Formats: sequence, C-alpha cells, structure tokens
Amino acid sequence: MEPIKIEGRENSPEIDFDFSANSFKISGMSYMEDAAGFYENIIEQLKTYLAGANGETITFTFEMSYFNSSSSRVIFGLLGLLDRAAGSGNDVSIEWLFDDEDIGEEGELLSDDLENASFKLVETNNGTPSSSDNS
Amino acid sequence: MDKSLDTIDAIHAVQQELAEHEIFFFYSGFITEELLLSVGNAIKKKLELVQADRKTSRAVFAIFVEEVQNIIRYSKSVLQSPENSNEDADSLRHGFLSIGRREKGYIVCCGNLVLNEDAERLGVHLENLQKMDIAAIKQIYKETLRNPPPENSKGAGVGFMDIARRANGGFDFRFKDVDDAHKFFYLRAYT
Repeated sequence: MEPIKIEGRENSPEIDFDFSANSFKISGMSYMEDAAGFYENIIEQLKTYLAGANGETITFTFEMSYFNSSSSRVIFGLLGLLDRAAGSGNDVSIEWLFDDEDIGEEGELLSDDLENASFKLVETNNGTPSSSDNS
Repeated sequence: MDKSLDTIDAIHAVQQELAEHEIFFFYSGFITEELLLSVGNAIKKKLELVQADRKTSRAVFAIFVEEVQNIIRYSKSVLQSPENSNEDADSLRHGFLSIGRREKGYIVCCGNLVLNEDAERLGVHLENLQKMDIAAIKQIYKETLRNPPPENSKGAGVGFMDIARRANGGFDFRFKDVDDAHKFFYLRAYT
C-alpha cells in the first residue's frame, strides 16, 4: 500500500504511515472539531491493511502533545483495532511517547483495555527517554 | 437622545464589570473553529506571560476547547442561510465565552442557548458528574468511549466529562429562562 504522509497543522496531527515498513506514527496536536471526519480515511486504509496482515511485526507510535475529547474517541478505537490485529497473528508494539504527565495519564487510561498488543509509555523529557512497560 | 452614546455607556459598564471580576477574556457572538485557533493561541500566550504553571495552563486550554466545540455543535442560536433548512450545514452558532482569574487559578465559563427539553437532560447529566470523584469520572469516560456515540451527539459524548476531569476546582452550571422554548445555559469550570 502507498504510504500516508500528512503534515501536522495547528490543530491536526502529523500522520506517517509506512505500510511496507510496518511503521506507523501519529504526532502533534489533535483538536479539530470533526475528529471522526479527519481520521476516517486514514483509519479505513489501516483497517484494510491490517485485515490482510498476518505474522507481521508492527510498530505504532503516538506522540501527542494535546488532543480533544472527540480525538480521544478516535484514538481509543484505533488502539482497539491494533489490539485485534495483535490477537490475530501479528506482533503489535504500541509506543506512547509523552513529555507531559497529562498525556501520559491519558495514554494509560486509553490503553487500559488492551489484551494482545504490547503498550509502552515512554517519557521523553528533553529527549532522554525513560520508559515503563505495562505489557 | 443619542443612541450611540447609550451604547458606549453600556459597553463601558460591561467592561468595568468584567475588570472588577478579573475577567481578561470575554467573547459574545458567532463562534467558529478559526476563532478557536486564534483565541486559543492568545490564551496560551497570556498564560505563558503570567507564568501560570503548565498543568493549569493545559487545563484552561483544554476546557476552553471543549466549551467552544460544545457551542459549535449544540448552540440553538443558529444563523443559517434561508435556503437551507439543515441546521448543521454551513451555519453559524452563537455563544458566549469568558476566562477570568480567581484566587488560585482560573474560571473558564461558557454559555449558549438550549431547548427546554435538552436543558433538563443536560442538567441531570451535569449533576451526576458533579457528584463523582476523578476516579469515577475516568470510569464513566472509558465506558462511554467503549460504546458508540449517543445518537444525539455530534462529538464523542465525553466533552463534559473531559471538562469535569480537568477542572480540579470543580464546576457549576445554571439555566436562565429566555422564552417559552429556550433557556440560556451557563457553565463555569474552575482550575
């Protein structure tokens, strides 16, 4: 599949989906009013890709600086999608990068339901990562 | 009598009243996403300049975003083109927003017109949230995310929960009668 690259804007995140490398990243701000509309197409493509993925090692990185409540619904759904992919024969690692405790807490809350994917909270204070692994 | 003089007096009185209450941001009018971007930046800048702590600044900004988007989605004061009867298409929503200082933190207030029947449901929802502690709010927030958004919701159905979570000084709300069918809804969140 063609990679998806979308530049970040003031209220919408940078999207970097490299299907052939199994490497996916969403970073930046996400507080557009119609979050579901913004992510719809991206998530559709990811769904299509994951439906055909088997035995893949997938890395998904979130590095959000802030997101609104409608984006949190989208992210929650996205985590569920990744968890199902992990439950059907793929090795899925999710990294949640944060430099702010609020975003860290948010990651903890949204990842609570994960059963199959590995989820790692990584604090990135001044570029020196220290991580706690709950998988 | 010169009407324009009256207007200035009235606006000046409002302005003085706002200053007395340490309200440094006040907006009443049509609210758009573009407005959210620019005013949001101004607020961030202002909080930086007064060196508000990071957690407080983030809470003020996040509450402000949820309040603005709530108005954009739900205000019943709508300006739409006469050819278009669909409230959601290309319309402008009217509301009110303010941010003020309090002893330790800020008060982020919003207001918009609601239908009487919605006011009742909204009041019950907010009263329930007021009774919950943070852990309980997080719990119901997650439960809400697990289910599809409520039918009458254009967002995620978790906007007020998000406000309640971030307002560490709590929140309150009030309805003021407007006419037979409408009330004006005010919500104040304290950080």
